[in-house]
Amino acid sequence: MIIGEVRTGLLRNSLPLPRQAVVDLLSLRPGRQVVATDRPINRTVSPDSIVGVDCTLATEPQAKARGIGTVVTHAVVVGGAVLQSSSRTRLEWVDYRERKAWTHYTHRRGVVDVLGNPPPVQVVNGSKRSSHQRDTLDLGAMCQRMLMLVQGRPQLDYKPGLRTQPTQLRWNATARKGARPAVHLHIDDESRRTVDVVVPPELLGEASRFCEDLALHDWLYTALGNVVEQAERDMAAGTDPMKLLGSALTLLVRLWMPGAHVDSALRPLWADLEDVPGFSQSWHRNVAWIRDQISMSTLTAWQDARTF
Amino acid sequence: MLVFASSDKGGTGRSVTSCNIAFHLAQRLDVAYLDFDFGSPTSGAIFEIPRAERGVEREGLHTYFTDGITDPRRLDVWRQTTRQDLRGSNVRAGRLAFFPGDKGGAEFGTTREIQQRCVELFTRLDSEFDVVVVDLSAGRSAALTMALMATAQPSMRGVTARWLVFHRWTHQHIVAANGLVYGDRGLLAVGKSAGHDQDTLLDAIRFVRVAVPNLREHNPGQTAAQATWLHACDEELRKLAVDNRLGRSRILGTTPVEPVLQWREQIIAESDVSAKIANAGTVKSFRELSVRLTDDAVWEGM
Ligand SMILES: Nc1ncnc2c1ncn2[C@@H]1O[C@H](COP(=O)(O)OP(=O)(O)OP(=O)(O)O)[C@@H](O)[C@H]1O
Ligand SMILES: [Mg+2]
Repeated sequence: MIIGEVRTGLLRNSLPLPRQAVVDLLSLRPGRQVVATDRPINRTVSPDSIVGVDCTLATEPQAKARGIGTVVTHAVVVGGAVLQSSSRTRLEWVDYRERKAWTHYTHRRGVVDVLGNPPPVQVVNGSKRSSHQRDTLDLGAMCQRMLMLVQGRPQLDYKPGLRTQPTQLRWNATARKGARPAVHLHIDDESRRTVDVVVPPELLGEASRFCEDLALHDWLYTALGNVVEQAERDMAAGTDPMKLLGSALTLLVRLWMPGAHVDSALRPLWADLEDVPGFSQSWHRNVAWIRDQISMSTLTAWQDARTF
Repeated sequence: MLVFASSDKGGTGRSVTSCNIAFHLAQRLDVAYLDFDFGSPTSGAIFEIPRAERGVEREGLHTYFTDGITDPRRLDVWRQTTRQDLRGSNVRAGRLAFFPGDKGGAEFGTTREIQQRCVELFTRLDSEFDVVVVDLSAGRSAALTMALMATAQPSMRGVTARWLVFHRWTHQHIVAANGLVYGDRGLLAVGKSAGHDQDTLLDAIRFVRVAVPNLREHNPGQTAAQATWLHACDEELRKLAVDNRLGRSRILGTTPVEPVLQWREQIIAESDVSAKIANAGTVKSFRELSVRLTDDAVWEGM
């Protein structure tokens, strides 16, 4: 089983960054490779940052659970505009009781040994709660640290092109032999989501990429929805929303490509999500609305100009 | 945009006025309100959120700074307030997120790490909200110093910060407000040593005169001698304000004496006016403050 968290928001930069600037931005450690893909859209991934942990694991209902091992965190920039940070670790149930030499853990990056034999479902439920208890595994804190590290880098002009609310997506992926991949997305509140994924064991490693893609699109969807709301508010108040709509078009719209960066075996998961929340349909409706507003306003401006 | 609410003296009306400003801003923008009065976090009472009346039990802003939690508690005012008439009053309102302090919190010293956490909080919220109102505690507080230091950091240079200094319309208050801005260890001095350009910082400061009596209103219970005396006092205070560099061009606005607020710290909504309980002039003054706060023309250099 893997548990993880993805935090998604806009880079603090007025315009999308060009490819090379993103590579510089994410070159967080000298000598470590940044990985960039250009098709169908630029997606750049920072080197992994590895953190050692020996802590309590949150459980629900409460059980005794100690985790020792390492957590992997990296940052992802999509389209030069959206920043994600993603922490994850694979949980392995063990039956030893005392901590072993650190090399036992450092050799297995992104694996946490689970001591105390808690029922897995209680660990999964615990991982969904926000745990600010001291000495408890807190993937959100690691994500946030990575976000702030990148958002404070000198490659940025520190002026977000659009004000948007970041989202936090907590996920867990369970391996089940012969299972058909399945996903369940739960919207906890305006900024928090939880995702349960089931996959056959050979696809467990792909789950994190899928969840990052899901977090990206869920964020895009939420952000664009908020832009439409804000524009309607502006229009009701007699304020011109064109700048806002224009920024949303340039920054967000071309990034919508569900499943593009996901292993083909997991792409059907997207089909399931499209069935129930109907992501793409409402997305395209909002995009069309924005374009309509912009062309109407252009038309009005043009007509006004002609009357002189 | 970050807006810092300060005052030299306690009990000037800093919290009540800035909560009301936040309320008006949120009718058209996404707004966050941060209770940085760590020793006595009472803004929850003004928004009428019972579970945060004197701060929350845990994970408030105080814990964020001292215990290193990642996400301080945030409460959606529209959903959490027990005041029915605030809840659905405007379907198009923006967000109003309240970040409470902690029950039993206290001021704390600023370490490098705390400083860094402050920068992170401000940059995070500035990317998310149109306006972030920060209610500092009275006087030359640690919170004020922390805010000045944080806003001077290079990674905050793209962030607009505006400073409000609240004072009452009395001799002592005017002199004290001058001291807080221009005096020893005042805003400008501390700002300068934190790395701010003093002129730019001064251009980002405006005064708010709270609970100023309206002398033009006819008052039947007043003798002619009293009226004359009051006018003379008012005139004297105007001169004093100018001499103390808090004259007309440096003020953001004035609020009138509001009887409701003399009895109770609260948001004054349109419904209070239509019920003839609060004065229309009070709501108007809060609305004007909120409009001028976000009007760049008001903040152009002097
Ligand atoms: N315009 C006004 N007219 C009458 N009373 C007012 C007005 N504005 C504020 N008050 C009252 O003044 C008192 C002090 O206000 P408030 O608590 O906001 O001050 P403060 O400066 O935040 O104080 P503290 O330093 O204790 O935090 C409150 O009782 C409040 O209701
Ligand atoms: Mg107060």
